[in-house]
Amino acid sequence: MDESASAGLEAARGVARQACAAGADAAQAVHVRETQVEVCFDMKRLTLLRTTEHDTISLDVFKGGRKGAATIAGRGDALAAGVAEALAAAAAAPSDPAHALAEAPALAPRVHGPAAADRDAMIGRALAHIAGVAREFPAVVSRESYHRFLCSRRSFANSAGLTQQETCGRYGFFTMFSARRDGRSTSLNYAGATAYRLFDDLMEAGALRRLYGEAERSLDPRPAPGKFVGDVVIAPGALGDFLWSLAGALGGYALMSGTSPYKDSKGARVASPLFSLLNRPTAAAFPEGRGFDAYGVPTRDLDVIRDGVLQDFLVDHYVARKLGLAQTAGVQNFVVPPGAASEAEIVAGTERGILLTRFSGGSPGASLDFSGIAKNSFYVEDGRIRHPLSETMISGNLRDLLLAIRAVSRETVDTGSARLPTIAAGGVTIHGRG
Amino acid sequence: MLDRLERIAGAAGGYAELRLHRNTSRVVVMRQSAVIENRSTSLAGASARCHALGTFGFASVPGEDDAALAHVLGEARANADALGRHAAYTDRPLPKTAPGTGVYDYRTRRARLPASARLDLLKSLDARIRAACPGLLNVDLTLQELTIEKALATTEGARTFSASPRTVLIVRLDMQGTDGPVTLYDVLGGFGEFEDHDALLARAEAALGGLCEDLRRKAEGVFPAAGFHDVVLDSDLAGILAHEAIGHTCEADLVLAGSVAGGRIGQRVASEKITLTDQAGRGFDGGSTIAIHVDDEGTPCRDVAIIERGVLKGYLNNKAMAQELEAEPTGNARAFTFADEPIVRMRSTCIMPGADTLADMIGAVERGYYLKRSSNGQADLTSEFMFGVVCGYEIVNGRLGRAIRDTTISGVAFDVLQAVTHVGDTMKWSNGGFCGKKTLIPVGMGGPAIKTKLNVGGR
Repeated sequence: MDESASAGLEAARGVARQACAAGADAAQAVHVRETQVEVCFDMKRLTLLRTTEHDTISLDVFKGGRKGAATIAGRGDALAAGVAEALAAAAAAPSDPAHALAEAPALAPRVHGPAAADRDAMIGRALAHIAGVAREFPAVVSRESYHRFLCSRRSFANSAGLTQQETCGRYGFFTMFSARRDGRSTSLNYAGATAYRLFDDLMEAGALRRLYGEAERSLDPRPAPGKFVGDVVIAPGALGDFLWSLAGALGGYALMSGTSPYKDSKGARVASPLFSLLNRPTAAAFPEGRGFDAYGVPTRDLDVIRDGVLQDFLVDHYVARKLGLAQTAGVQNFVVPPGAASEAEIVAGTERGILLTRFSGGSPGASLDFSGIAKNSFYVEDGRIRHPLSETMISGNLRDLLLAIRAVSRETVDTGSARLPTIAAGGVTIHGRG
Repeated sequence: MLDRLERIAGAAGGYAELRLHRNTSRVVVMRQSAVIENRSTSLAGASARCHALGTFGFASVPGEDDAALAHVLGEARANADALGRHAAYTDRPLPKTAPGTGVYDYRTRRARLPASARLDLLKSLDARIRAACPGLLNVDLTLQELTIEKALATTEGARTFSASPRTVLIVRLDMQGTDGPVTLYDVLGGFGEFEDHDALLARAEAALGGLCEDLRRKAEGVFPAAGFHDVVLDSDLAGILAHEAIGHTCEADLVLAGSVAGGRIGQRVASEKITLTDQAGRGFDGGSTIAIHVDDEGTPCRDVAIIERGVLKGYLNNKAMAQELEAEPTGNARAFTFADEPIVRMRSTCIMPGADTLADMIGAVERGYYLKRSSNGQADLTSEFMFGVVCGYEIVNGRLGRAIRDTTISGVAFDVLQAVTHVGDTMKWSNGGFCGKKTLIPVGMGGPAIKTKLNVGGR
């Protein structure tokens, strides 16, 4: 272990010790050291080279079943003040026996990805991307793109002697863009992805090349014709948004509030047999994953929905103790396994509906009713993409939509935090402003 | 502190900004009477941004001493030089402005209250809600405090300190509806530290009756009919309309990216009843939930009339965008944390009040909807926007009817503003409000109720 790695663990151990010496029954701390290099650019020029360092400690203290917490950047007086803040917060809180340290096996320290950025290569990739977009997609414009390297080291220690450490270096790319020609602009779209390796070509990050092409084909949008109930073919980016709403409904805090529509559905069919939802949180699988959670518990794979049947909920250490359930959740990095059909076959099998690339909608409530605008999307009729859409809303219920899935694509998009296919489902109300 | 910043910034070659920045926050969350989050956070550091050869360099570290300041200034300069060498652009000096100066410290003058005061407030409110609204599935109470302190010196002579605090209490209630749980929430609080909000519990209690009644009626509510409708947007939605649907399209970086507002200065884009501004300080009436007098490039903030009596008048600029548009910087360059570079952001954005009453607006609708509270919102370059609506009512023959379930409204902002027939006489700023554009940042948004036409999602 190098010197800075051992310093991170010692910082976490030290603050946990300090909290106990100040009166805590138990304490846990995570020291996070991050270095970042970011090359910012638009489609015309490089704009900014940004380097940042972060050095924070997050402390949880437990005293008489009460919990308080503080996050501090700095050392010395700031650290002592943070310990005092956390203890004062705990003293004021009601007692709750669910608040406690976790017992878990210690993992060997893990290192994923590179330790330092190749700055010159990053700048070179950004310049190549500017040139490549101008050449291949001349109508595409962007004002907010960045190619980022982030190396984070998380060191965990609790007062029971458990320690964990993980270091992860990864490259990321994010861009927000539209197409513009003859004074007309499309809706904004965005895409991003992370990987352990420097991208050979930023155009290959996520589904970017496809999305740029779709932007250029969206300069003459019009509303969907009328109001009807039809199919939605949901592209990976839009599917990810729906899965976050689903994860909320399957999460421990929804169970705790009593509002989850799935609270009595473990073992029941909640989706089409074509659909599975897998949580794959470890950093080895995804650059944006993590090897252990906020309590130092190693994350593990979980099949949340398998072949349409709800296998388990996403429950963290606190909710597990609170509700008497088994802990299952780590960081949520979702995989939806691919299906058999190609995206082209799925569109060809759509009688009437839309290809939904981005969903801009109100956050679904506890009932999982949703409504919103189909952005960067296309009208589909008789198996063919007819035209890009504007002023078209869709509405339905996410529970019903999962049960109505009729196809899952064999192609998937890997963003470094999720790997998702395109899915198709029926029963969604679609209406264009007529 | 400012002397120290000014001395070290003065050593920079070329254009430079040097900033000490601290965000202090506290979050307490109570769910089902259990405290599930109870954390204070203090994140502070130094940052610098330099300009060279047509590009910027930025650096930050989590330290506040002279060594940290000298380090970030040197690294930011090296970053600007390195990028500039690769880019090989023609160097153009940034537009100069009068240097922003002054101390704007809005931290509380009252004695600090202990952590127990926060927890006591939530426990008391939780008990009162459960007594006042029997049959609830769940009560969530979230207390969020955030104070942003910034000290800034630039090589152009800016020298300023600000501290802008905000305290927000979110009350969320869940109830079993006819076909599943329904949720409603209210956001209370506003500008100032927790100590300045001694009436927070009383305000929450006063709001409770209306919130419970809205929730009870929503539980028996219906889905709106999907389609294009007459609507009355209450001030909560008018504020988010000002911010999301219009404000973003008039940010200069988005104008340059092709927003629908580009090239339309001087054109009529809204009903002449509409005047929409992005305001400096604490807003025209001193009631906004943020304070900003000098931006993070050192430019003195000034009010920007975006739309005046229906005519598009101006965009929101920082120095780099002003240079590209050959305009004046407006003081809209803002950074959320010490590690963020300043980018074009809104400040306190609102539709100015008119002369109509809410009752007159509702009375003028034969069939439509009265929409009271929003959740999230989003817009884009085309000005096509959407807002989630969590509380609303049918209007039938000028009277409120059944409550509606959660829905989303959408429209093209300039069309929606052209269709405005009434602007309310009562201005209200939202008590919370964050904008997400690369990073989060607190913003003020507000307005009166307005009557217009737009798309309503539904069945």
